[in-house]
Amino acid sequence: MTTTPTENEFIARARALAPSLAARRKQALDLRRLPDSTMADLISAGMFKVMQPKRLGGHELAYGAQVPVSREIAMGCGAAGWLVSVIGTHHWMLGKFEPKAQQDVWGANPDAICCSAFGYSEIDVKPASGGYAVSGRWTFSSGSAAADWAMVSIPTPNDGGPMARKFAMIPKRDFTVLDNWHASGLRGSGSSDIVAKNIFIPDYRTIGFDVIDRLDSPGAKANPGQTYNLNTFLVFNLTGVGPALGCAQSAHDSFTTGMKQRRNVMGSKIPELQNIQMRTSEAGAEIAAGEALIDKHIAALRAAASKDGVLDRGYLLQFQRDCAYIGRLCLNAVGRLIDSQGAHGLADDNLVNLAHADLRGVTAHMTMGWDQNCVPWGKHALGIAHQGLI
Amino acid sequence: MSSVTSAELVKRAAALGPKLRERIEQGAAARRVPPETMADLVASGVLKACMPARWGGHELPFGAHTDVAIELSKYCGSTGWVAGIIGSHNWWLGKYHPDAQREVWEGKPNALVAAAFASKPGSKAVKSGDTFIVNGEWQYCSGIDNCDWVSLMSPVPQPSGPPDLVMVLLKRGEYTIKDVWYSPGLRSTGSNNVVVNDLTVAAHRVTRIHELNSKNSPGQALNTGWTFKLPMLDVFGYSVAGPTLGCARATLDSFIASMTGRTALDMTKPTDHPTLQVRIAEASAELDAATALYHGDIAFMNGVAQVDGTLTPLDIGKIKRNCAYVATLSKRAALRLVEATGAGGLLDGSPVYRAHADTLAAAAHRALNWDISGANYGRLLFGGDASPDAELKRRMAAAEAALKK
Repeated sequence: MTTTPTENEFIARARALAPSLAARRKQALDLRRLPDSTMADLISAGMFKVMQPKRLGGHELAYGAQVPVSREIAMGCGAAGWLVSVIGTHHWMLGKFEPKAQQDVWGANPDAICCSAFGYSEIDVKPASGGYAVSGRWTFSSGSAAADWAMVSIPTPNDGGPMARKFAMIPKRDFTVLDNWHASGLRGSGSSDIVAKNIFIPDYRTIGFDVIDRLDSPGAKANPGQTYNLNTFLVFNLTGVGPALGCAQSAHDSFTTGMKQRRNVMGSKIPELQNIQMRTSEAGAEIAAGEALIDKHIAALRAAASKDGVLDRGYLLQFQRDCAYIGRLCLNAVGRLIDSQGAHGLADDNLVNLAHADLRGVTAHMTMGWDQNCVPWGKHALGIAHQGLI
Repeated sequence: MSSVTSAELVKRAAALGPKLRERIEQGAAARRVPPETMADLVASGVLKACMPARWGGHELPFGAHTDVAIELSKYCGSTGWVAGIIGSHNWWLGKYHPDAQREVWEGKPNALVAAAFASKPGSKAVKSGDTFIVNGEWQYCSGIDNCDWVSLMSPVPQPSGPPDLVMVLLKRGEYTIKDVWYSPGLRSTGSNNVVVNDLTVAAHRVTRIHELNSKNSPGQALNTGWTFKLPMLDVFGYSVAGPTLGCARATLDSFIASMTGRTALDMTKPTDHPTLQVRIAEASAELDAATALYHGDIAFMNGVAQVDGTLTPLDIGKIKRNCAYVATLSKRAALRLVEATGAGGLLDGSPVYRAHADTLAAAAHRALNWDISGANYGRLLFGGDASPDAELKRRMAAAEAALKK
């Protein structure tokens, strides 16, 4: 009988992997996606399976495990940390689909990887017998080059509002990766567009936004553990938090290491400037505050999941706000450090600079942008109606 | 005084704008200003804004070169930066030893001079009889590949106590260029390193910082105009603060252009969102405040120079503080905007991203460091060391004390 490794075991594995990922970071930047060897290492360490159903070869750890694990990975390579969290979270979502759809993805290969793309620039959906005929182009699909499946969003015919859409699983043979990801942040994440032309998607491989958001989703019945006993929307805003904290911590660590050696033209030690000491301290406090905040939220999510899974609207909006706020804290911290590196901090291979670029990529995600994610709770607190995804 | 006005030079800079935009990718790929662009800048005469009239320059008031740089930065940050830097060198070379000026400019009014203030530890100029022996590696020489000369700030070791500081002028061929400039911001400035090996340099090519940073420099024997009374280092900050402000303006302009006409995934128009409206309002207020500071200080400095050229320690502290604050405001505005671009702002071709990266890189210049210039002015207000070179003198004293131990 095999025992499931604990969350701590995965954190330790991630920590052990980080140095080799850091060594291949340059290669990832050149390829604009993760090198095959990095993907292979992440897969064999089970990094994408932390919240995949046990029934299908996953480890089914409690929701939230993607945060500390992806944080450790992002300490070595921001793009790898991003993929571990994004793909890991989509594997969790897939655990809520019809069991038959999960079987299609993981039945023959429990290591199968599922990328995703929720935004589209072109879309055409028509009802077809037993499913949908779909053509479309979806944007920013992180990890698409290595994916066996893609989770995309489609508007359903008779679209009535934001929630009248569906997620749909499409196999690799049905989509093409455009290789158009040329970006300054998360450059190594291969977040290219994907295109599908006149493909058929059977109904069971789709799930309505409203259905996947329910505690009694089809997958939650098949996978009855507490992992899937949570809403989907806003709960998945957790995705960017681990990579953001990992990028910020690695910037902090490489800043302090580098700064210890710095001397100015007259030979004085730059770290002896009190301003540098203050910046180091404030950045450290910002990151620590972010970690404490997310630890509190993960504990709250898990407490709910272990009982009836119910989270009230006010709490979810606060959670949404705080995930984005952690992104803001991390950006403040790293910006504060970059500011005092002077021209040294401009070099393409400066680790603080690299972490900053990846952090910008993470915080550009729709779940991490401050403007759009801070307003809903503000409205709620002030008693103003908000039309959103929940 | 030249018949050309500062406004006319800005107009000429603006006329180059479309060409600069066309060559943005070319410059980024080569990581230096395209040679065609340098040729256009030279032909337009904009680099000579503050150059001594005696050598064919326009000798306009200080700041004419940064007005040009700000305009150019609206189209290409790297070009604006290099033009601002070289334009400032064309001004302060007028304070150098007359023989050095003759060597550079006599019969060659279009000669271009790069400069570096930072160097790797151990870089120095050692006095040897009437000459200096120069060794070392200097960093961040913007535009070096396009220039005929370079001027390097170098320590000169003394028999005891801290080193003296000088600017050493070297001709192309006397140094080698190390192609090391890989940076996300100001990528096309070619801010590479310069390596000098056991080079013997004549005394007229070496001028003490102490003299350059005063109202009575050696070069003023030739250039008697009031603009050369301004101290080289004390006012230098605006030569880089100007382009920084220009890059931030470009961030705002391109942000507005990129958001206009867009529709978000939820079918709303981003331009209808008050959060976005407030961001551009705040960024534009920051930039208008920075622009007002810039114009105010430039007018003040030129006013002082026309009277007797004496800037008090508090004046200098405030000028340096304001330069760093212009950069701080520029940086805040650029960050405020790039934060709101979403994933589209990550793409390599994004003009918002590029202009923001240029702003941050420009603001990373030592002369714009808020920690240093902010603290320095605070110390002056508290009645601390009132020397114009307070920070330098404090460290020299510390070095001297350490040597005595």
